[in-house]
Amino acid sequence: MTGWRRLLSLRRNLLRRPEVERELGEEISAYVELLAAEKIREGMDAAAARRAALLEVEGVEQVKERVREARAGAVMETILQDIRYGVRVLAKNPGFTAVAIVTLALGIGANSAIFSVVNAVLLRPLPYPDSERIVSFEGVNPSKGITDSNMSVPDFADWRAQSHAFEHVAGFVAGGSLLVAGEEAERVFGTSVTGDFFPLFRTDAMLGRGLLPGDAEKGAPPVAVLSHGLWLRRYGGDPSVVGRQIMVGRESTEVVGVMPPGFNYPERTEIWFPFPLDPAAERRDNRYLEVVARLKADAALAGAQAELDAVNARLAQGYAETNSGWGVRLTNLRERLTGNMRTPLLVILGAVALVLLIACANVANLLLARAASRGREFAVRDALGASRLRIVRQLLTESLLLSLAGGAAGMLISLWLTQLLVGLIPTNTPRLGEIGPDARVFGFALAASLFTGLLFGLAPALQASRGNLNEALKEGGRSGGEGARGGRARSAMIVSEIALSFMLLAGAGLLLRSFLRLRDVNPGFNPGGVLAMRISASGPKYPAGPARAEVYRQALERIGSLPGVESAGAVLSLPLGGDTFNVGRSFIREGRPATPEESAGASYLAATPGYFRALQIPLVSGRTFTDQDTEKSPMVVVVNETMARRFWPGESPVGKRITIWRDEKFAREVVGVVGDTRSAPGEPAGPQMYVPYAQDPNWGSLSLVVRSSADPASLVAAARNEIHALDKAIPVYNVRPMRDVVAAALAERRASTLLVGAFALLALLLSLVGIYGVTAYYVTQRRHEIGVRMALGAQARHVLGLVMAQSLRLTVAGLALGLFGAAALTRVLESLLYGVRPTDPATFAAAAALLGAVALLACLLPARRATKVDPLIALRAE
Amino acid sequence: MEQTQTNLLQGTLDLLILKALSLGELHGLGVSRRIEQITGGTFQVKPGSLFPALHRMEESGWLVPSWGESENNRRAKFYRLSRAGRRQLDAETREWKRIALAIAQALESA
Repeated sequence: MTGWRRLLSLRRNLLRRPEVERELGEEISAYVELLAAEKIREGMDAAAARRAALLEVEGVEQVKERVREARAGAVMETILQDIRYGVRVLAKNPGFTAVAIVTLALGIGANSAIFSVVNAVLLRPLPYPDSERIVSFEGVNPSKGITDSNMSVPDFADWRAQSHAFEHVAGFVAGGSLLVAGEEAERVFGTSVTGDFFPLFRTDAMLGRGLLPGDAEKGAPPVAVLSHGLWLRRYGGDPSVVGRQIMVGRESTEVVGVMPPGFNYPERTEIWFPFPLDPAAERRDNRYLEVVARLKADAALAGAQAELDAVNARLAQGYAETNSGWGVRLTNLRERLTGNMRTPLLVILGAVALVLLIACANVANLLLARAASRGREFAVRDALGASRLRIVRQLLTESLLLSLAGGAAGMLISLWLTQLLVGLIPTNTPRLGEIGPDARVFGFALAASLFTGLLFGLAPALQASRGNLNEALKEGGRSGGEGARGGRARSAMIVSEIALSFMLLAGAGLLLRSFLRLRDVNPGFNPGGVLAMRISASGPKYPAGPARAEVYRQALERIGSLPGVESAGAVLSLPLGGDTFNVGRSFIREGRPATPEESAGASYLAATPGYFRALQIPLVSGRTFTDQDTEKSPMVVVVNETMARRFWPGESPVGKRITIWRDEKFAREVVGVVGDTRSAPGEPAGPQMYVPYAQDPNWGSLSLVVRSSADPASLVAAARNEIHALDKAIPVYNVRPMRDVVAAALAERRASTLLVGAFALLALLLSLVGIYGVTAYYVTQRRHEIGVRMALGAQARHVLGLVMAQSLRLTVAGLALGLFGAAALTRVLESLLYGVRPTDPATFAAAAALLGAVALLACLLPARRATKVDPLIALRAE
Repeated sequence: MEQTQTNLLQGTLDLLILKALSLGELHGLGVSRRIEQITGGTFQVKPGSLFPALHRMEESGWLVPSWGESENNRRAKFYRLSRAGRRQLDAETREWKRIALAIAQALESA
């Protein structure tokens, strides 16, 4: 009943406002007259009675305003009114409005763009149903310091059989595979998966079916499932491909299904095969399987982990030789995929958030300056009965209008910036394809807009509303001046702006120095003039053995005889992570007791004789391989300096013998020591051992490195021709100059350094504008004072000094504050730095100098203008 | 006296206005004067509090407004209690007595 009446009143208040207003006016004036009449009856004369009555009412307009505020819909009505008024005010100052909106749009746009990356990579669930229940297994052996190991098939089978926390447990082997269709062989990334794999991801095939447990049985016809991307690229999206036979390697394989777009686990897979699971035929120390599982609806990660720990403890007892010390660590799959992106992304997000704060400080400064010149307007509104709250609300409405306009423009900017970012981010970043705006990104932009609107609007609004009515009217009577308080607030803004800029500049400087240091790190080889490519001679035509070694030998011979080629060699995996995989094997030194360090192993590399020459890896002692090192000659191995130092300290390893895991039947003699090659720019090389490829021709794919006197790019076609002349079916892929491999190893750092650097420059620019604005405003305010000083004989340099001193004091205060902030904040960068401490004095000094110079520049121009003040004009302006 | 007035609880003001109007139709100043009279001058309601309260109560349906002639022949807005207003007065009176009793007991128990 009551609610209904209020709704009716609301309608009346909103729709018939003039009438309501007129009646209110009439009611109050009747009150005043009745009161005056009372006083006349008490003996006052008419005029005095009326004055007394008005005094007693304490402001007719104030009373009306309070009634309006008490009425239904008052809030809505005043908000609408505030918005209308705000739009009018902003439209009247197009210059101010444009500057504020552009500043905010840049800040909010950059933040939204970075957030859309963070959202896609770190926050959004993986694109599978109930994906947060999918966990990843990681083989660990704490006693050997091993993490992130693959796992063995028998262990996998035991986990699956003996644990109860999982709905599905699936194993897979990701690796290259060969797809031949038509003339040109194309290499596509394929993965062999156990029968539980597709059910685990709860993703049905878009066409046909996924793989079934029966597909992997012995004697079953070979089948494969295609990714959506491969289906479009290779088969033009033809639905009749399901059921067709395609050539995979040398084997005719039936396509049984096509997966929907977005299904690409493990990352980059384009074709899935059934994995024939045969635990009885596998060794427990042959750890090559990757494992994922889906937790049951009622199972928790910790419980599953405890259960697996128990299974592993039993396995370690039952199979001490192979399983002692080994365990498994369970991680949410999403966290596992993107865990190493976390710190860089959060650092970038932090940097861009600082930019937004600086943008806020700038806009707040503009508002403060404007609030000062609007002092008179507020005084008038105050006199007309607006409460202080009402004025604050009006000003905040204007701020929010600005920030929402900035946010809308920023959202457009961010769509474009996101495109730019995706191009900048290294292509092997997980989940790159998922980056794009979604509801959460829009929500973020909206929240950022509202937050910034309040942030930059609150101080000026409170400032403006605090003004004393008389004072404001008096001051406003002159030239729209402001009290000392407004000046202090603006000084505080500039100081914090400079402090924030300094923090950003220092952080960017540290990242830049790290990047430059890393770029200058000697990787242990000379990438200049070298072309790298991967080729695969495998399948039934090239079984593991001497025939395969012979094909590689011939291919290298042909390429080596091309004009301009100085040397050519091949290796199992390129340094600096060029082939994204690394084989490690344990070994035993002959005649010494085994140590845990030995069993932790060394990088294992099969290489041809030309490899060391082509990459110019220095020979330290002994010899490298020759064509005489074959499967029939004595078994040899070459070790790197780190391995020599670590395992034969103080003596030469040349002539010593080691037995490497998997060739237990014989030992290899160390014939040489070569320089270290790094597997990552920022990490010291670990122990590495090289064996002649001819003595271990079990590897189907090798990376070729070709050094020539000409530009490596000019060699591509000729090298490809030579290999295809040998056999058209041998695929050649990943062809790129070795310099690109080096650059790719730094790509992620390059991206984060570039981004933080760009944000630091933006911050610098915003500070420049901010300092300029404040100094220029200061000069305008003090025109009169400066004019008087000059009339009294002050020199230009005195005036210059006066103005500059004001701004430079703020700069110095900002720098000091920023120094503390940076010292506290750059610690979060620690894991991203290389060869610089988080508080590197040189970097901090350089950042301070740069910021100081920019500040000087920013106040020089207005200061010079101050010296041009004509005393006569300044004084006459009074 | 000033103090008492500014600290007047909203509920108390509502109750006093309802009580003042329970004896008959009044305009704004009349309500003010009636409250002074029935509280023995303890409460003086200023227009800044009175009119917002009257309008709020009118919108809640407790008061029925009408325009009429005042004692000095001026058009003025009069208020009288609606049926809902009477019920509200009864309810608030009971509530007030309950609270007053409770507070009195609390003060005596010390």
